[in-house]
Amino acid sequence: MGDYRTRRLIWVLLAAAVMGVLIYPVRMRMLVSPPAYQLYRAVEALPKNKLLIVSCSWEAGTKGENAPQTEAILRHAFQRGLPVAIFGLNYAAGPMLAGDIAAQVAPEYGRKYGRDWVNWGYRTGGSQMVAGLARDIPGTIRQDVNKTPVDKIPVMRGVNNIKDVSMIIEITPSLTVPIFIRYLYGVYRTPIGYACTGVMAPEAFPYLDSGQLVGMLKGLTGAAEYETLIGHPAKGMAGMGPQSFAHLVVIAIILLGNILYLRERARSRRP
Amino acid sequence: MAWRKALVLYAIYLAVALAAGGFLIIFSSPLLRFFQPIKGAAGDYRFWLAIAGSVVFWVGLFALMHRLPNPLKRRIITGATFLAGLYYVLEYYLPGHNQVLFFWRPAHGNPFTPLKQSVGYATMVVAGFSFFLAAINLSLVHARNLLRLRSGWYNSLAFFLAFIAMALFGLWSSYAPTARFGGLAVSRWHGYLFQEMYVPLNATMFSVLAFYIATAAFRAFRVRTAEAGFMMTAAFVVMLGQVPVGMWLTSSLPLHGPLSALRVEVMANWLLGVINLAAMRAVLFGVLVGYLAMSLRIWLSLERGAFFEQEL
Repeated sequence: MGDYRTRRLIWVLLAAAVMGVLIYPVRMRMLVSPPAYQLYRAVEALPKNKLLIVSCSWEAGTKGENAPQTEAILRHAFQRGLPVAIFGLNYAAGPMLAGDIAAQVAPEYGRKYGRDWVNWGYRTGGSQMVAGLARDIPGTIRQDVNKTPVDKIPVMRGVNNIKDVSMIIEITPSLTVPIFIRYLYGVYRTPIGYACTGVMAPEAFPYLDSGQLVGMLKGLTGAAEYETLIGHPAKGMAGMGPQSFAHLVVIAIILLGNILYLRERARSRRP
Repeated sequence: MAWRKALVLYAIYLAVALAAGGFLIIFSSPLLRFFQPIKGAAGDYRFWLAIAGSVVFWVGLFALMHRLPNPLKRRIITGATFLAGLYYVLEYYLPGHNQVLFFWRPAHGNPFTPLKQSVGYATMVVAGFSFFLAAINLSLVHARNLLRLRSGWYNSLAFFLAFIAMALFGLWSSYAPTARFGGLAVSRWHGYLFQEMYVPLNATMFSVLAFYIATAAFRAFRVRTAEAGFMMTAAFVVMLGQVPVGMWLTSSLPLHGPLSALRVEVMANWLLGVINLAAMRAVLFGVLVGYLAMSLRIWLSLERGAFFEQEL
């Protein structure tokens, strides 16, 4: 079979596996991994008088993984009645997309914009901005996405510096979490949670093991685990079927490639 | 001797830094006031005067630097880089509070710490300029493609259309949210461009990656050696351990006890949390030591890069 045909056959197989399970959903049982459970426990133990910052440094390209993570985390925070601030560090679209999610989820728990949650929007400056947050949150953020000064937003009342923040959860496809570890956990011991795309997870394990991260969600699986923990299966769980079958197709493709390779090698060795 | 010359140069920089440090310590309060950001309303003339003043000052300074002879220009850049790096060394490597080192300070605090915020603001401004520079550079490259009708010129045209439309409606909807264009609110136009065009395009581009990864896995994941076999087995276990169908395969095994170690999700977590952890930690150590060496080279302007190889 030609290379051109093989490639297209693989694409068709993968698309069929994903679409088939999307059209005919399969109910699956999800077991929770320790990093996701640790994050859940940490959020569960947060005090209600301190701000939870959800840093949404992602954009549409990784929406499939990061949006369900954001939804699950926000849902848990709103369930518990934690004051929440959303902002973004790396991608301008992140806070906007996360704001849309929060605007959908918050009313389900009777939470209101301004009173229970706020969207600070996209903030430039990287590490310097994070260092600024530690010392002076209103001075660094100044206004929310609607251009309302933060000192006039009820949920921001009494929030002056990092000591008024209970935890920061970084949701991102990039390795931006060391910035928070360096400037916030390292200096002020602010708990840091991490929700990343599947490919970024292996790089974060050293931080998790050292206790610099309180917990972690690994890609769409992490979102599904968190949804299981909060008892609200949503997009993460819905994605587990297509992801399961896509993984099976990739494994089958790799095995098939090896069978063909071994057959070719045996043929070339024949006299 | 080159190294002797460099040593003398850095001794001069250090002397300048010490003098600057002394100056900062003596005049820290007025300096801090001078570098504090001015928060003004749109109607406040002092706010706009301050902006105009800083623009005139910095444009003048850059124009002056442009006219300086090249060796002097290089010295100034090297010196400024050294001083900027020295600030962070003194701020982060010296303790926050020390009775002996900072005996003259009221709470024996590091005298460089109060300047941290102002230096941070300055860094953000410089980062902002780099965005501006990137936009100019990108526009120049695409304008050349378009004017000379090089192959793929239509991509450059698409760039300009997208760039201008997004910038125009983005800024317009931000500064005049009630304005209308073509019978629709400008914020709606921005919404169409962003939510209905940019977001799906971005998502599509990343989704296509899955197909390329599957093809690459078919072609590249060949068990040619024992190591490749180990890697493939580990990859299968981790892939299966992340999804419910994989967990279902070993669901008949108990959740606790010695046999639970054979469950696919337990093996996947062990591979990620023990084997991968050790490897990643080793890689991180190596990378960070290299990062430190690289930072030192940049700080002391020893690095040969795009900038320093140019005739200055």
